[in-house]
Amino acid sequence: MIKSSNLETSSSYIAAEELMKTVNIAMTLEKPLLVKGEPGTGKTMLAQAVADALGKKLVIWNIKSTTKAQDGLYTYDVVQRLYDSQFGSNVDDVHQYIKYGKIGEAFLSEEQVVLLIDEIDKADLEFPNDLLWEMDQMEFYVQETKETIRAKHRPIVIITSNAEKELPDAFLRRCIFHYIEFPALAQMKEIVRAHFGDIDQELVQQAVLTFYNIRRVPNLAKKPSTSELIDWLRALIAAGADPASISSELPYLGVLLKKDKDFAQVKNARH
Amino acid sequence: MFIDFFYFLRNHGIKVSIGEWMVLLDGMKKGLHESTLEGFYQLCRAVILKDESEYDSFDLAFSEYFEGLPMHGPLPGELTEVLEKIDPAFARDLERRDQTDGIESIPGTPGHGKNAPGPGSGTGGGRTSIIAPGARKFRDFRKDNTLDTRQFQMAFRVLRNLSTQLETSEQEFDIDATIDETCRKSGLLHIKYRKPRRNTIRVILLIDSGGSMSIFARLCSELFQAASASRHLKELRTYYFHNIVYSLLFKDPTLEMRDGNYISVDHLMQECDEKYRVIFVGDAEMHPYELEGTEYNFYDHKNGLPGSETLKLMKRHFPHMIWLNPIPMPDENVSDDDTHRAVAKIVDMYDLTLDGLERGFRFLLSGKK
Repeated sequence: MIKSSNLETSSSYIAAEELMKTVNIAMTLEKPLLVKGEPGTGKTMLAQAVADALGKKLVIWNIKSTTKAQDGLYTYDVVQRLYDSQFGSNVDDVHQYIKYGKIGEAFLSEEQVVLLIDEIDKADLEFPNDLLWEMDQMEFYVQETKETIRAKHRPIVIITSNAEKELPDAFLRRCIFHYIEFPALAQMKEIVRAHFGDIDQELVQQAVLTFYNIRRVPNLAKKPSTSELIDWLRALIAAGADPASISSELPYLGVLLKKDKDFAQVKNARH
Repeated sequence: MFIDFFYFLRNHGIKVSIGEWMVLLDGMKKGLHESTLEGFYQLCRAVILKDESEYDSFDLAFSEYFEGLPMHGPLPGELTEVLEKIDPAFARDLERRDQTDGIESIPGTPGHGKNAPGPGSGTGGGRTSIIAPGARKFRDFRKDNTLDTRQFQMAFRVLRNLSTQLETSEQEFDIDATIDETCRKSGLLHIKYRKPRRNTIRVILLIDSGGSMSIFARLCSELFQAASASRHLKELRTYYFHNIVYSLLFKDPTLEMRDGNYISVDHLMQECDEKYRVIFVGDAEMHPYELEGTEYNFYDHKNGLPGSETLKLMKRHFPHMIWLNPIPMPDENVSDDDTHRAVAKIVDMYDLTLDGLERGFRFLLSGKK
């Protein structure tokens, strides 16, 4: 069991108490933890922080739109084997052509690892369903070698989603779910402190307030997130910006906003 | 008492499954509720809920059930007693009850129950009804009746067959060509790759619901089934409107103005780029004022754009846009204020026949007639 203080001292990660309890619930019940939340609320960093706090290795499986469930288990390099056979190498041992994916790696690890399946909603709609058996039973079958790969130590599975696609019910039923809310003002200041230590409080105050005001502008195509605020503060500090002028002049707005349309929206909202 | 809480949650529209309930009991056995009500609350929330949109209704249900008990206080005795009873027999009992009671049909869960009238219902006495009074005609869309949907499915294949040639840098292993080429080289292995034949078409299906469309409900239902069964589409979004599109589109055919049941046209255009294929299905029969005027646009308190302008706006944003009409195009000599022809001037209109579908889909795909 990990305590919230553990997590926070281990890195610059600030977690709400509720989130910590949910992490513990998922670990105790040996269920995958599904974390949802706006981009930039620290979903990916959570896994790193959990791994650090527990002193375990983190295995990251980044999901892309072309990722298939099989990629996470293993791939069989048939082309390499064919090539090798042409040049007279000994190709009898199929094992050397089996390459394990991230799930395979986590299962085969000699120690318990934290497995992060990052942005699962990027993949095809059927993707989560294809992993049900492997996640339930913590094993998979390698057809080519007729072997069953079973997890030596059940990995702690953390799955993140940006809610771009709906996830299938059968998959959801097996997960412990937590929604990370966008940090409130007080928590945001703590996060800033964790990143920058003691810096000009007036600057932080003005920048954070302006940041929340920009987030409140309706119809933004992409709301700035925590990581963008951190970058913005870094820019403000580097340039030695005057705290008093931040809210009126919005210096380095390009760090916060990434789209032309949003620039116009924010400018309009101020008049 | 514990089992009561299960049914209490289900009656409040929170979809708890037996599996999740067993996990919850398991969690309590392991002491994860920390013997306080608050701990129990967090355990329940983590195990049972799978979407942040359910948080609120869960909070309401929870506070109603445990009304008056302090959050940091201990769990009520009845609740902890149950822990001693958790054994396989109990689980079997739970499952048996589940089957006999037929939980799925418990009335009162949202989506099955009330039929709240949408805004504007009750207006228009006798004239064209403006905003459908919660028409339920399309509610069985998803039920799989297999009648004649095949023809629609075949039509939807058009959207696939022609889309396999799209440009992509991706390559996949081509077994046939490899065998062929290797034989030509008298057995020396020669690997061939090809572009993957994957569909990239995304479709937005917009269906007219209620009023004069009721008689075509069956036809629309089949079209919808074919569309949702066409698994090759990269994405399919379906929305409903009544007669003509104003600023809002609805996610189900009841057109209820409840939270989460609608999306604004602006928002849709922000989310979807010009590559989306838009298919309207409707008879385009309405009062001329509905198309050209603003007084029927109740969503924007009569101040919004008229339907024809919204349509033009959408046509500018989505160049690939067609309108399928179950009623054949009327003759030229019909009076001037015929909305069927007026809509066809804005959006390319095709009859909802096999031939019309095929021509329409070809246009949708290529932009050529």
